[in-house]
Amino acid sequence: MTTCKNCSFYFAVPEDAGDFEAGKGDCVLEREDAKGKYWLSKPTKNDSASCKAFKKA
Amino acid sequence: MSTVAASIKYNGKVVDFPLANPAENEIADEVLHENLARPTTERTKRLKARCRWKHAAAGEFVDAEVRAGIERMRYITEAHKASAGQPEVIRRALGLANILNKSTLVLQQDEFIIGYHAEDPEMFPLYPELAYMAVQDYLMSDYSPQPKDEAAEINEYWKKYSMQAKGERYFTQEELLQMYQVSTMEAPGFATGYNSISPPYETVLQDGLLKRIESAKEKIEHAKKEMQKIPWNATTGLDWIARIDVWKAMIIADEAVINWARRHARLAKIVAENFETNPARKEELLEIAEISQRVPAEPCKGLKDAFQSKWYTYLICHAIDRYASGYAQKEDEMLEPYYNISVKEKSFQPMTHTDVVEMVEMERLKISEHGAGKSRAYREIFPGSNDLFILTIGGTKPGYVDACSDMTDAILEGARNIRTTEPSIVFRWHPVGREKTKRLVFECIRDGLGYPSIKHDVIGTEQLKYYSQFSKNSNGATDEEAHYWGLVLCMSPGVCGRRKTHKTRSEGGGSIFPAKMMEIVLADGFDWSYSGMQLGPHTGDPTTFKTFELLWEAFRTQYAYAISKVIRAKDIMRYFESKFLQMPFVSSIDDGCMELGVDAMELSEQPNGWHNPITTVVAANSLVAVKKLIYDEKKYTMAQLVTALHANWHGYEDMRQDFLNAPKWGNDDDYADAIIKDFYEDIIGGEMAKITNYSGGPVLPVGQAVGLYMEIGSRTGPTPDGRFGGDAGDDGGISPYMGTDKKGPTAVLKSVSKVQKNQKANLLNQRLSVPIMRSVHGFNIWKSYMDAWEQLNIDHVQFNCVSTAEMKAAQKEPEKHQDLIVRVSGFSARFVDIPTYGQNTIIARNEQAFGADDLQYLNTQL
Amino acid sequence: MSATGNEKMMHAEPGTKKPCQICKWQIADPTNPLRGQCTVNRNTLGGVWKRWVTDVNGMTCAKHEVGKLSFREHV
Repeated sequence: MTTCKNCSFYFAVPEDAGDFEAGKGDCVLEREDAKGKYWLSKPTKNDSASCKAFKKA
Repeated sequence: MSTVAASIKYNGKVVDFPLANPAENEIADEVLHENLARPTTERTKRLKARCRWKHAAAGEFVDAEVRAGIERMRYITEAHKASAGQPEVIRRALGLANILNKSTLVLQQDEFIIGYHAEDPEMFPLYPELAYMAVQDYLMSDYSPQPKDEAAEINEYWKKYSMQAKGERYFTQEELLQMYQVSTMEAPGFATGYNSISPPYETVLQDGLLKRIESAKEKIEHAKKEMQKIPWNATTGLDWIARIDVWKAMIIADEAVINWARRHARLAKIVAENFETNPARKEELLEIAEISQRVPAEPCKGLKDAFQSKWYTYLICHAIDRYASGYAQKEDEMLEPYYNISVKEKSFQPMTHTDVVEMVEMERLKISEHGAGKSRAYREIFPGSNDLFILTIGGTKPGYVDACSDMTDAILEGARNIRTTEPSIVFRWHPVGREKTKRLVFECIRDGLGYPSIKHDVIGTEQLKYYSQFSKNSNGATDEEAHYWGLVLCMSPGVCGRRKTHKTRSEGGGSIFPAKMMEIVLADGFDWSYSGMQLGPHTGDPTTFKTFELLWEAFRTQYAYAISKVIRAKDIMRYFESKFLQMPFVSSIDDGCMELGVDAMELSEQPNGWHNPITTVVAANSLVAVKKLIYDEKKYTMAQLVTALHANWHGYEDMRQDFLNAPKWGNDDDYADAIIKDFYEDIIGGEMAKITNYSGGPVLPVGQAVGLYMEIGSRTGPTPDGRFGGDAGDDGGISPYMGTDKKGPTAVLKSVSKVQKNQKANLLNQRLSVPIMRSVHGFNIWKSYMDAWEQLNIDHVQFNCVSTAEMKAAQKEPEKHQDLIVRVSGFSARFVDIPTYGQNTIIARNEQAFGADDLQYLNTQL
Repeated sequence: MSATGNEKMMHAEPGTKKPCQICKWQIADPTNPLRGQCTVNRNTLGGVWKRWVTDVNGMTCAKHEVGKLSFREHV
């Protein structure tokens, strides 16, 4: 099973961050619609099953 | 070709009105507004072109992409279930923390001020803990949160815990039906979730949240020591329990907000390092990341910090912890110290004045795409805008010293240049205000933005001092605090700053509708035209009223019944807010809540009670017509009038013309004005002032209309002023009824100035001649008008400066008129996003020109 | 001219196939989604004189037309 940890859109939360938890990361995805580009960041865990946006790191 | 005003003879000479900008001679009247925008930079031009407007009209969103998100309702529910058994104030803090920790963050191309309150920039959040009916309405709409089943389950879960369920228990079914239909009374906040707040931004900018957390920790330590004192004294010792919980909740909330802002910092850094290819933007994203890492945790050190920290605070207070309309702040004075650091001293985040104007434009565009998850009633009543957003500038400091600054000017320049419907601006007018700034105020008005609206600085300041005497803890606004005020929503002053600000809508806001009351007074309290039910007390068969005074007293009875009910509903809501809807973050940034350990929903130091009579002038003009034609001249009987009204005047056109042509408000007519002055001061204000609200002070009227003059007009049958059933009500709080002010602009001022007693504020809408305002004499004429307005002690005035030709052209080809902005009432709107019904009410307003008599009265120097 | 005067005007009809809910002249109630507002009465000057619909699923009238009006045609 591929997990978030192996995804290029997964960014581990630094240890000095206030919301740090072991294995926690930010899933950052680029989106674009008729009004322009934007980026979304959502918390995830490195062992979470990957989603449709998965891209190997 | 542009229309040029005709020459007039004034003071013995002919005065011509050439346009101030000769280039405008080549621009047709029909397209003027499409030629006025001039974004300061290419970036703000792009941001405006792609702005995700979220305008609503007739209860629907104009843009089909706009929809409700589910994340907020999901995470607050998850936290509510997980925190069962803990103190309620702690549960509220944990709810906020869960939303902030788990929600999706948004960062958009080109933006410098970052942060959004839903999981997609086209979305807005919902609030099931407030009103289950409001969420149910969304579930039945085309813009329901998805997955809908999950959202429905969440709404069902909250039903028994919601503010609506709690508030409803203290009213009869009949009372709820009377209020929920919004015809004589606005529905209570517990049934709609509508709210307003003035966040104490200054503590966040000046202290930073880390310092607030430290304060709360020290308070807890102190409290624990007090509780350990020997011998134990329960009469004081037990008080610490609730206070400790409040301080603990503050810490949880503030830490969550810091972490959330720093998640934004990480996002900006990740995008800079992994997605962005433009080196300049990459550098800018790293600067954005650095700012969000520092603020709101730390005090702001420069102007960029201040804009960002203020925005995060706004999102939490107005959209994430709870929904609240408004954008209340004294923005120029709040930002001026940071302007001085960055622009004048250039010691931190150095920038030019033009850079500041760009920041202002970017902030305006952030507000313009802010989505409000408000109930249907409020999607109906601000047509052509997304919500009420009003900031305040100008005015005076203690001693009535001018408070205008270069920051004030930057705010006005940004507004003039970018041309957005939101946020609206209020300018506090005082004679000492500098002319440079007043000229910018004029330019915004002349360009048709509809703002700044103007408030009388002395009236607002003295009013807050008056209210302070009723403070429940004898700690109302000081002189210095009373000078630092901004409008809470459209019209009512409230204290801004570190303490004593308006925290929830129990204190002020909410509406009551005299036009509909006038209708039911003529039917023994029964609503024959809209709901088919008894809406108020039985005040008797009007055909038995032998004197005008009996009619007057019947109206008083209906009004007193409704106003007590709506204020009771607000105070019952406040009671439950203090028990189940605490605001730990807001409490943490208020110096009073921090000092006393009392939640912001409970603590009230500065009373500021008001309620909004809307459509007063329809009722007032009706009373004048009835007195003249039935009681004085006896041309008609009351029975004939009642029959004609029930026929919607069909078959009674001559009679209608008599009632329509009876003296009307706004013409300096002694007969009409004497009755109407009494109506405002004795009934509208007098009855309201008898009430004492949650904060211990009186409630006073703030006459203003928002879009409710249309909604209530459409729910009100024909009235004795000659109105047909369904026609709009009057569009201000004290404005003449559209098209009936026929004696020029100064006659309007003279009428309005007669009402002085028992009022808190009254909205005056005026429409000015475009060719005169755009002429070389525009500023001088307007300035002399404003000086006269100030000397007449009138509370408020706002202007439309848009031609009928342009509005009619926009009705025909809306797609070509996206930049046409009009003042509706208390807010500005994109004209083409307003229903035709509402557009017609703006076209029907008299366009005031200035004749020689007016100029003579104003002593205008040309 | 009452809100529920006769069969041609808006009236209760349990099980009606033409409920106000799907009528183009109906718009939701401002507060309670189970109720609505009828906007079919319009005067020549463009005024919209509404009637309260106390039960959007169980009321109808002779002017019923299925559809949905644009926001421009409401209030």
